[in-house]
Amino acid sequence: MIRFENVVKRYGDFEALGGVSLEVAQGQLVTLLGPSGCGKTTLLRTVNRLIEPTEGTVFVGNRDVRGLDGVELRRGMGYVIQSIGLFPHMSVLENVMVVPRLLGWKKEKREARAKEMLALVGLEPQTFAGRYPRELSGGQAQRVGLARALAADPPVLLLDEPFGAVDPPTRERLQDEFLKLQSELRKTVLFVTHDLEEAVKISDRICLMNGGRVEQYDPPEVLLRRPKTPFVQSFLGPSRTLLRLSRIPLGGLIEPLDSHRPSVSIPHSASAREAFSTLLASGLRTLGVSDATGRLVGLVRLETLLAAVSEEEA
Amino acid sequence: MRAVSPGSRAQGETRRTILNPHPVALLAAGLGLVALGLPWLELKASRIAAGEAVGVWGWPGSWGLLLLGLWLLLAFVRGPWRGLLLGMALLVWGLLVGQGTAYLLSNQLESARVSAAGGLWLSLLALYVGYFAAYREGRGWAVLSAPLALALLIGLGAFDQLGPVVEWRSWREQFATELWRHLSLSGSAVLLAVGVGVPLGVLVASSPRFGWVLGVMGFLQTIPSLALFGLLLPLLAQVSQTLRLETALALLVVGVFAFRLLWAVSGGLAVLLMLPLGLLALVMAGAWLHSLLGPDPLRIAFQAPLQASGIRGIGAAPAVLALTLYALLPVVLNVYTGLRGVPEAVKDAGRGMGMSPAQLFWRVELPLALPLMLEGIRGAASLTIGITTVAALIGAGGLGFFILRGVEGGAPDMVLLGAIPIIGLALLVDSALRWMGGLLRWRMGI
Repeated sequence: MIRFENVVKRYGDFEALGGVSLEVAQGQLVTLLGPSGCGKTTLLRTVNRLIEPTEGTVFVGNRDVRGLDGVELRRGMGYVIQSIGLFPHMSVLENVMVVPRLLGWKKEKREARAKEMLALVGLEPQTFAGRYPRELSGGQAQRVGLARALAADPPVLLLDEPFGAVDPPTRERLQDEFLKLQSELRKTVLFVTHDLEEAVKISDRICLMNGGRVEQYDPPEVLLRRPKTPFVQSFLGPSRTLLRLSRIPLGGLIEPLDSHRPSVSIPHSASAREAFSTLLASGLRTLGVSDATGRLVGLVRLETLLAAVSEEEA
Repeated sequence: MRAVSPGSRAQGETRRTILNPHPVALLAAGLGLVALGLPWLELKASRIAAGEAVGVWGWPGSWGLLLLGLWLLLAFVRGPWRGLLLGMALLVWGLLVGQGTAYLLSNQLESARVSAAGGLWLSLLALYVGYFAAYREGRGWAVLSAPLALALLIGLGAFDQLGPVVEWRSWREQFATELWRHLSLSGSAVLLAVGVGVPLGVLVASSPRFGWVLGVMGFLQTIPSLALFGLLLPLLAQVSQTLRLETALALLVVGVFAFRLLWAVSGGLAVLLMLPLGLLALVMAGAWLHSLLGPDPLRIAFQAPLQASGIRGIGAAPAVLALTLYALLPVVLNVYTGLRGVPEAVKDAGRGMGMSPAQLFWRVELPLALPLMLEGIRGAASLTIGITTVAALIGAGGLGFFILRGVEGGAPDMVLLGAIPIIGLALLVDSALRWMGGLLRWRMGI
């Protein structure tokens, strides 16, 4: 869907991108991860031609973007930036309707669509449609930004640290909701972040960048298990084992209940990492697992978790 | 009465602390009390003769005592009552003035005049300060009672014997014309400054290359208005006598094309060469706009020098041009600041969503810069209304005419006849535009 071929971007003597080649398949969520100044935002912005590469080609849907009109191209892609950039003089509804309006949709159609999008990102249209951006919390503003990007139903989403400016609990909730949304919508998403945990949590594949180059481009499990370069190793740091646990669903590790009833339990939907943290915190060796109604359905043992990690390692 | 008084917070305060001095009200009362000890009116044998000062205790009646009491009450009473007291103080103040003028003028000749003296001005200031104190606590009452008292006083003819009002009666028709002229001079200058200044501001904001424009505007602002008139006079006189109207128009048309051609070669050169033509266009537009808006007839005479079309070295043409040049800086500066203040993230989001540069400008940048632009226009308007006064010096008329005549004839009341309406106009335009700005911000949700 999106393909970078040897993309180079130079500003004078400074090389922001040093020949990036990358392919993002349709419906995949790929994060561009790396320290600040690694070129991830620059790479993202070459896709909608806010930045023109010095060398190399960017293809979207097998068409060279240079052959497309920049303005038309951007209208066909959802775009969210860290500071969101909601228009302060427009109401929430008007903000969400911006792209449909640029595309010349009829008033009723774009209003209906905008309300649908607000509901989709979890904002009650009746409450929020008439509000102005200054009346929103950080998390609400991010949701509006996402609704605005989705309004014209673009096949491609470009997200530049979209959850970067909110507090950690809100961020986690937004990530969860976004993942749920993505599992339904199946957009092709390029997601810039510098947050390793966020990348591990949401990505189909992670493109770890440094100094304008791609260090490693792999699914999170592979990246965490087999860092290819010393940079990747140091970037992932000592917590990469723990992070790997977060990619392991609890489902496969549950054992049936025996006579012993564990005193602490966690929900079925939690990750292996959460189970591990809870075990460490409680000092226990076994943990109950409960279903959505809170009924105990099984248990998970510390040994099982450890085995799962070492199995992966091997 | 409490049930209908506005502001529940103010009501609560009334009950808690009915006797509690408020600093601003205290200042107002202090000024008012000091004023009561000074001479209020000046009796003169004629409009230019030297006067004899009289204080409020110099004429019979007990209004002075009542005003004294009202000032004391005003200082200590809190809440919406203060607005009511202020209206009463204003009423008593006016009646006091009316009584004094009537008393002083009884048994005097027709030519005798009464002018305002220090105490009257100081008490007026005290009322002004008091208005703010009252406005804070019960704005409804203050806004209602002050104009009501003023209207009542004018209806009762309390000021009819006062010097400036007597002057106004003898100059009534000329006053109306000069007021109109004053408005059309400053109005055309502000309109032109907006017409030229807004695009100029957009240009300056578009690229740091045009930063010098702000420098030029700032430099223009530092030239004294009289000096600017002095510089324009011989130049404009020369041009208006030699240049024919059709030649001027042809030059302007050619100038537009020449500018576009030259711009491709060198921007600086183009501006430098075409600046005189730009000023010519501005002076013609200014003179004609003033004629359209004002009391002077519009004249456009082809096959004759420009002076036949009302463009001369003195009069409205140089006046409007100079006023426009002065009004440019606040307009350009605020357009520039307004556009620069649009957050980069907002512009980036607009571009990223597929707005063309024109769409981004009209839908995002301009609306967001608009409140600040309006601020600039407000500044330009009140500034221009003030300096239009000097237009009278070069025969363009306006309210400055009375000030000039008053200064020449040594008649201070005549000076006031010009000055008071100018102050009133400036304040009126300023608050009207301020109100519009507030409305705009509210409408736009920022």
